[in-house]
Order: sequence, then structure tokens, then C-alpha cells
Amino acid sequence: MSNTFTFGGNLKKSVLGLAVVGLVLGVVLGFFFDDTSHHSRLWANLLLNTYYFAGIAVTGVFFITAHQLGYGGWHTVFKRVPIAMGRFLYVAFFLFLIIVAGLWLSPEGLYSHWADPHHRDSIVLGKAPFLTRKAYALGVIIFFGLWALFTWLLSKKFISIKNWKEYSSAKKISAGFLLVFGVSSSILSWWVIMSLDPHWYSTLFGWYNLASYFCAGFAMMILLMIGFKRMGHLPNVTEDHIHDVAKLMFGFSVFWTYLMFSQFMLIWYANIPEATIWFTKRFDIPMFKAIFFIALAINFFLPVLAILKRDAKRNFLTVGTISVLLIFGHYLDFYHMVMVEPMGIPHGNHATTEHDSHANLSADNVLYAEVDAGHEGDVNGHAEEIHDDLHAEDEHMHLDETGHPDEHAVVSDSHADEDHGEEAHTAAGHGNDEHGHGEELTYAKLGLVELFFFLGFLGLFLFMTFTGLDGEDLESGDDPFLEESKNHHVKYS
Amino acid sequence: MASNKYIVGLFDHEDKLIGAIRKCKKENVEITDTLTPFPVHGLEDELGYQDTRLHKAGFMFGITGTFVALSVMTFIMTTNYPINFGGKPNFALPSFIPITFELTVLFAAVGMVMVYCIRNGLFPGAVPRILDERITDDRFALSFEVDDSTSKEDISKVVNLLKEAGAVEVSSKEFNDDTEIFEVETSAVESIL
Repeated sequence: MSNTFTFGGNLKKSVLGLAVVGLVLGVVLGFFFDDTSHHSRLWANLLLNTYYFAGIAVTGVFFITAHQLGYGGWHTVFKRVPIAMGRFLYVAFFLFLIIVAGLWLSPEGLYSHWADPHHRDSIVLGKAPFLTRKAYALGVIIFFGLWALFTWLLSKKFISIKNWKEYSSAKKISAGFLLVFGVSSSILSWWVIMSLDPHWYSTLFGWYNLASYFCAGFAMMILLMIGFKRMGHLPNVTEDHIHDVAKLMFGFSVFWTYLMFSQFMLIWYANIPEATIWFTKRFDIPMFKAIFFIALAINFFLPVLAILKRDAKRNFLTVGTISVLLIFGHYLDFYHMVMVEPMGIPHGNHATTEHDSHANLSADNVLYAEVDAGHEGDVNGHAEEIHDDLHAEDEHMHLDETGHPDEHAVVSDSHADEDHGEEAHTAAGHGNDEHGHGEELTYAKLGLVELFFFLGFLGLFLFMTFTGLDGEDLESGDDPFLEESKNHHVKYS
Repeated sequence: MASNKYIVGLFDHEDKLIGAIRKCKKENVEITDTLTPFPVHGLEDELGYQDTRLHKAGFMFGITGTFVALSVMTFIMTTNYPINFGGKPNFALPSFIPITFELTVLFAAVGMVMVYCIRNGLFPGAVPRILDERITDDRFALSFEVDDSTSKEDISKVVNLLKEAGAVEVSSKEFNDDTEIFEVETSAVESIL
């Protein structure tokens, strides 16, 4: 049996078809079926899928480099698969160039809270050196560039390691990548995802993101390995190898739950307004609340119940099914992280509309407004001034500013005083009259656009992975660890 | 009640041990126990051991811990002694989770240790039957239980098999259960032949 993998025929046609049809339909449908005014649905889907699949790809790179650094050998028989997974990072780099260009071309499209320099409130201005378009562009391009560069080095140097000298030179590259990755994965999650809502922050967020895409990455690795085995390649990959990758997938699922729950419980327990806003926004929208709990069910309870048992991790069908569901579950997790802000009811120039996007906090807002109104007495704000100054003013700012009532705060307080009636009105559920959406707080949908975007990116990811393996023997013949890997047994775990 | 008499073959390399086990299987000789100073790769397969059921016990203990923690906390916080903590509801599930987790781990860990010790006869006061002190150092031991009804042909078959497989030493051990103090009589295997 020939062990050379050729990427052609029906496989190539279907993968390319998936990528092209998915992306074209996704972009076209997303262009026409978009209730937001700045094509936010397109931008948000682009960001979500690029980041998610870049995360899946970087899992492969991390997997290889971590094992290289620790003299791990058991993965050698299938190590080309994770290396090829990393190749999507080349695409992700160019897609992030588009997202960076979008900061200037359509600042309201994605990062509407801070991308437009004229629409920044004082909280965003306080984070100015970090949260500006230039810093974002520089950081994202450098970090994703480094990830892509290391992937390139990986596919040059790591595939054909023949002796210990080559092994140790590859080890140095591994150390370099892990150093870069350790810092950049967290910082990128702040820039790319957390800055969608720049008023909120969480110190756990970087690891939470990392755990989420690692789960999906290991799930993808398992699916690719099973797929190649079905196609008759990777003859030396046994259930022992699948078992160990499944263990990583399972372990990171529990780790994801741990971080997700830690983040939730600390915020829930402390009940600080600027921290809880992230969850109140999500829990006030039935769809996002449902997604939150469905993601928890798929990403935690399902793996615990289904693949906790040793035999289940060695059964290709069980592990494969769980992998597919985990990829979907972690997509949902990122969906609820990304979509709430860009797809929210837009911040208009009209002062009343901006309250509607925060209507979910209405009960608290009324309270703050009353406190502030009592504090400031009878300052009369001028409507024109308010409209000029308060483009993206946030309600919890009142709380921050009460200690230091400068001119800005006075204006906002008076504004809150004046708007009191309107806020109560909003709280009663009449919502955004101007846009006529009633109680709706979001334009976000989980529809065909999202499906086609996801499938298109999946096709793109598979295309990049398969082209990296085209015409190659999937086993690296002379690797010093090959024999160890062939004799890998995890009879007792 | 198990017999107190064993034939013990000591090996100086794990490959010889595995070879001896394979030979025993071929000749249909039942091995009582195998003792090695370190885990030998693939030994369980050679001996044909079943998968351990310890993890099932662990799961049961863990689930017990989960339910104990949740039910006790729910009972105390909602019915028995409800206190308002920071305006949170009395049945504040998120705050129960860390303690539930801890109790799950505690029950599973302690339960598994107990089950392991009981199954292996390691409860307090148990007198260990040490076949040879060198099995924690550099010797690999195979032991075969014999009693009075065992025929001499069978014994010599085992002894010859061990010697052929490259045992560095073959001896018989007899444990004395009457005394609390561990006592073992070692004799050259020829004496029981």
C-alpha cells in the first residue's frame, strides 16, 4: 500500500467547493441580510471565524513545539498532521490584515467603541496607548506574523528531523515559539476579542480563549487523524495515539470549564457593575443566554459523560462524534464572546438611542441616574452639548466619575437627570422606537450567513492543511523518535 | 484459604521474566503473582490481566461526593440555617460549585485508596507476605502457589521451566500465619522435590 498522500480528485474538489461556496454565499448573504448599518455581520463573522480557526491552527503548532521541547516522542508517527494544521495561520495573517484595514475603512463595523477616534469615551481614552488603531494594527500584525513565521520554520525544519543535531536546532525554535506564544496568545485575545467591549475586562480572558480553541484544535487533530486513517494513510497510528490526543482534548475541556466558571463566579459573587455588564448583556438576550448554557452543556457535560471512560477515548466513533460536537460547541462559545457588541442595537448620534443598547442594565441605570441627579442637584445641561459630547457614553461611567466630577461628568449627570424619564420608558420594554425593534437588544442571528462563513472557513482550513501534506509520505521516516512512537502503548492510563 | 507455600523464581532482567511468563502460558502453568521493582511495559498484557475496575469505584465515590456536597449545602443554606450573604439567594448554586468539586475529589481519592488497600490486603494490621526483599531492588519474581496436594511432577515441571527461562534463583518459601511477626522459611527447592 502506497503511503503517499495525494490531495486531488474528489477530495480536492469537495474541499475547494466547500471553501468557495461557503465563503461566497456567506459574504453575499451577509452583505444583503444585515440589519446593522455598517456591515457588522460580515465583519463580526470574519473576525470570529478567522480567530477561531487561527486558534485551531496554532494548537497544532503548540502541540508540536511543546513536545519538541520536552523530548516527547509518542506523536512522531502523525506529527505532520499538526504541522500542516498550522498552515492556516498564513491565511489568518492575511485575513487579519483585512480586519486591520477595516479599522480605518469601517471603524463602526467592528470595534465601534474605540476604532473611531471621535467616538471614544473617557474609559477608552484611559486605555489609549493600548487601545488605538495603530497599536492594534502593529500588535496584531506582528504577533500573527510571528505565528505564521514559526509555522513556516516548523514546516521547513521539523518534518524531516534525521538526527539529534537537527533535533536540538528544532528545539531552539520550539523554545522561541513557546516564548512568543505564551505572551501573544493572551495579548491577542485582549485586542481581538475583549476590546469589542472595551469597558469590560477580565484577567482570565486570555487563558479562557486559549482553552477554548485548544479544545477545538485537539478535536480537529483527532478528526484529521481518523480521516487520514480511513483514507488508508497513517498505518502506524493506533487507538493508543488517538487515546492520548483525546486525553488532551478532555483535559482542556475541563480546563475550559474551570476558567469559564471561575470568570463567571467571581463576577457573579463580587457583583461589581462594570464587571457584571458583560454577563448581564448576554443573559438579557434569550438567544445568548441559551447559547451560554448550550455551550456549557456541549463543552463540559458531554465530554465528561461520554469520554471520561478509558474505552470511550479509544473508540474512533465515540471520539470522532465528540470531536465534531466540541468544534461546534466552542464555536458557540466564541460566538457569544464576539457577536454581542458588533451586532448590538447601534449607537446612533441621537442621545436617546444609545440608551437602548444598555437597556438591559435599565434597573441599575435608573438607580445610578437618581443617585447622580441627587448628587449634582439642578444642573441644566443643554441638549446640543449632550449630543456632541456623548457619542458613546456608557452608563457605568457615571459611577466612575462621581468621585471626580469634572466638566464631562457634570454634563453626563445632567444628561442622566434629564433622561430619567426616557430610561424608565426603556426599562418598561418599549425599546428603540426609532428603529422599531421593540424589546430586541441585538441583531445577532445564528443563521445561514454564520453557517456558510463557518463552512467556508472550514473548507479553507482543510484546503491549507491538505495542500501542506500533498504528495508526501505522512510518516517522517528517519526521525529518532519514530520507533518509540510506533511502539506507543497506553494500556493502563 | 490460600496455601502458605510458594515456589519463587527470581530473574535479573525483565525480558527473561516476560519469556518465562510466555513459557508458563504455553505449558498451562498458573502463575500466582509477579513482582517487579518497577512497572514493566506490557506485563499486564502478557499476564492476561483484566482492566482494573478501580476507576469505576472512583467514579462511584466521586458521584457520591457530588451529591453529598450539593444536598448537604442545599439543606443547610435553604432550610436548616438560611443566612443572607451579600444579598445572594439562599440557594446560590455557583457558590456551591467549588465545595462540590472539592468534596467530589476528596470522596473519590479517599474511596479509591481504601478500595485499593482492601483489595490488596494492605489494611492496618495486615502482615505482608514478602517473597524476597530484593524484588524492590533488582530482582523480578514469579511465584507459584503449591500445597500438599500438588504432585511432585507439577513442582518439578515449574522448577525446570523457571530454570530453562533463565531464573538466577529458584527457591520455595513458606509463610507462618500463626505468629504476628513476619516469618519466612526459605529452603532450596530441592528439599521439597
